[in-house]
Amino acid sequence: MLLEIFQDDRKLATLEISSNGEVRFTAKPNKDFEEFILSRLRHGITQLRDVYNYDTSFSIIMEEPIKETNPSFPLAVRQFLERAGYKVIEKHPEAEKEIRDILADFPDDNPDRADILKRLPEMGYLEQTFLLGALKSK
Amino acid sequence: MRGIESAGINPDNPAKKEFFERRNRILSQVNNMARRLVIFGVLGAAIAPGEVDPGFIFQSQTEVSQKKKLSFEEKKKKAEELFGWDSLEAKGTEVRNVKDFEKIMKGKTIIDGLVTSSSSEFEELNSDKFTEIVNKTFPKGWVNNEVAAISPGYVTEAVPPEYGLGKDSKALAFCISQWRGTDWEGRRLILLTTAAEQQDIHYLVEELITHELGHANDWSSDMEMSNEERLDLLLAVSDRLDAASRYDSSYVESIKNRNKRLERYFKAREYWAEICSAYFNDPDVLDVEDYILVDSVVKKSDPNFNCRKSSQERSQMIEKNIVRTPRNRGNKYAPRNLPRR
Repeated sequence: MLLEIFQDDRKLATLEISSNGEVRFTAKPNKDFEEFILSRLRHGITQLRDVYNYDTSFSIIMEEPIKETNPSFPLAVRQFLERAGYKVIEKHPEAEKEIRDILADFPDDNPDRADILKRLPEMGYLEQTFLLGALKSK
Repeated sequence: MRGIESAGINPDNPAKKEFFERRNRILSQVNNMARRLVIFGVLGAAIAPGEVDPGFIFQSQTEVSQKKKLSFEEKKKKAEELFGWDSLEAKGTEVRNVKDFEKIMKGKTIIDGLVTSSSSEFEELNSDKFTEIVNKTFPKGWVNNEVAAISPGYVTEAVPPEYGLGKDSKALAFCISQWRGTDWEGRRLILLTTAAEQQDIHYLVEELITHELGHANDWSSDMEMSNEERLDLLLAVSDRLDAASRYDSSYVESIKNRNKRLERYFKAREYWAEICSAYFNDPDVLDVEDYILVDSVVKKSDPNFNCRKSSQERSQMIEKNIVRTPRNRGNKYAPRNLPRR
């Protein structure tokens, strides 16, 4: 999972979290953020879960520790950073690549092709999946 | 990356020229639609007739429509196959609600608007401010008659022992979904615990409460869906659970149950709540299919709702009414113990 971390529209870091819970920075991060995340990972992070009890018709949103070996750990890191007040954007390089591949079949001087390619690196997943769905349906 | 050179098109070949011109027009329409989606949060209704087949946009609805070809009984049977209705029915009200909601709610009092319990200890997050944020920035039909009250900070964080959870677990919110036999039946009461005060208030409102609003407006709890619409939504969400592009959430992925059909049902409940939360908070993180699924339900009760505009307005209201009031003035939700920013 590839995450971009922002604070007040300022990019602090890009994190890559492997399925076995290994967290690494893909470029030099903001120093304060680096200290914060490394410290929190050392002490262990928590995740939120919603547990429903049929007998009482109660549900509880609860906070609990999560281990790095848990398959949900990358998702928990993302959620943990959001709870700490950061804006977290999950990148989807595979969707971006797919759009580039489709647009390669359009002329270089097509203004919409140029516009989409220009916006692509900052584009949200919603717009990317919309474009993919629309272009693939043709 | 280089595209196909315009110069490569043979002007003497009208068929080929027409082919490329058509493709360019389509790309232009798709790009315009994408921009409208991002700027205005609109799809579908805003699409002018053109060469872009809007079929894929309505794929979710199409799938639902396909299911509509099934009779109500056939849909119930399908749901039974997927979720094991029999085992669910023995345990609670979920199935009863999906099958017989209209009958159950007949004659019930309609409660308009959110009633928020005030806290004398916390003057700044008073009922007026909080109620204003919730009532102003969520779709009318998603709050009115769905959520009875949101009460901050009255209960402790201890998780009741019957949940059998680890000793390190603590509760942030309790959500009571059914008060049988009263006018409250079907509505939700959201109780925030003392531990919730440690959370970022933006996260609390924009993620946690939006998640609960999703539950309050799902196939089991929504007060305005027909029985058939309930089954359609449940089956559509179930489809999304199997999609490669499904929304990733630890709420969903952490659910484990020895009964796999029951596990699927629990996952569907949480999946819906999570995509609703994302829709209200930051729709850009959603796959377009999930966006359409939530948007289509929202627009039924509030056709003019704009999730992007409302999200900005909510964030600004929280900032103005809550975050800027310091803790030493009694604001328990003022930022504390947050990382250096």
